[in-house]
Amino acid sequence: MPGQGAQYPGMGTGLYRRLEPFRTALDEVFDALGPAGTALREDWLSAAPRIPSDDARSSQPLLFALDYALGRVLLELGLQPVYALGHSVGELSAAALAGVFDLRDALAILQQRVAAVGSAPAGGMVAVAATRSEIEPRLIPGVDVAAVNAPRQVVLAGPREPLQAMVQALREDGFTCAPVPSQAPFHSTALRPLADAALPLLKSIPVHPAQLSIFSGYTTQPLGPEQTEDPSYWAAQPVDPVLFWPALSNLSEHEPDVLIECGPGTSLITHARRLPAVRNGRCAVVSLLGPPRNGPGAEFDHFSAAITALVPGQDYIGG
Amino acid sequence: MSTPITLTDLEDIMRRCAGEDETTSPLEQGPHEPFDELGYDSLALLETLNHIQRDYGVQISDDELDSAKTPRQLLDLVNRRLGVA
Repeated sequence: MPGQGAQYPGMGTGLYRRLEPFRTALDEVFDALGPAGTALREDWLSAAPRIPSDDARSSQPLLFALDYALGRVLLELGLQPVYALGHSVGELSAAALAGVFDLRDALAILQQRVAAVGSAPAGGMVAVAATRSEIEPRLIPGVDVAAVNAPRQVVLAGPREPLQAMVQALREDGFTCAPVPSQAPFHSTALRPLADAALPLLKSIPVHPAQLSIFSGYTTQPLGPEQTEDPSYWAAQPVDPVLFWPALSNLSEHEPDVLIECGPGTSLITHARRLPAVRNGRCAVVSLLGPPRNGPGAEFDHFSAAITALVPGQDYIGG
Repeated sequence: MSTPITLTDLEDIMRRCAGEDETTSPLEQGPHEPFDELGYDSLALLETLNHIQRDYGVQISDDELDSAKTPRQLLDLVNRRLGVA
């Protein structure tokens, strides 16, 4: 379930317009967000959105909503996933899908994070084609490893100035760097105040046993009650690094048959194609909405084909 | 006269960029597959391009890179730039 970085304009709008179960699930999320949700849906569906798609005020709730709604549709179709692995906010979507948090409570956590990010130091995120061990000796104060996405992809985050200085030094040393679409330094110590500020809310939110096993992008192992019931585990998520590749590698040892990109785009299954099990054909990869370049108009057909392949005997028509 | 870049050369570069072991080929599915279906996202592609530019002394813009959707297309683009296509 993808997080920040996977967003793009119009994502999911094609399927929303044509698939009733998906529309229902998404509308549930928008409605639970109240007037902010109504405004968000309108902006998302409009031909000229006022909020840029990379802005956390838009990307975070939309990514959550799309991940969650697609997950709901899969479960309603009878699919029984063994694990849900979320990237960044995707893990919150997984928690809501698994029933660990009620939908409204998960959204309260999300909204509090987004509101708090607005007061954090301006910063960004940059992806570097390097291993973690190449990067760590080069870290300068203020810049943190925000994510490990692939064998040679590390994302750095931090306030603008130190981040720019580090990128410059890395480029001088011949490392390839590319900015990640985010206007906030997610998963860096710059957001530490967010973790502290989130604790009271998280302590007040009821936690239920997970109906679906969550594979943690933070611990890189399946989550147990010792994490799900710990408010500081959830509070620290905007600060702690997303160890996606190590988590995915560990998940791969459980011998999945298929990995499904349960959210917009194909960024996570693109990384997953590096797994030996996927290269060898033991594990398939499928995206539900298809590559962004195909546009929203192609989403319904892509989704139908994906479901036909995933659910035995299901010739998916929907609509 | 420059030496053209071959599919094997590109494969080597791509493997280095991926940090992959020798047993798997990045081009197993074929040179006409879109890069993302081979597991190469925009960063991996950018790195591949940087290696090519360094190793072969060619300059390729981001826009031109955008137009190369598959390994075959990238090869052709580089070889055109080298004057050997």
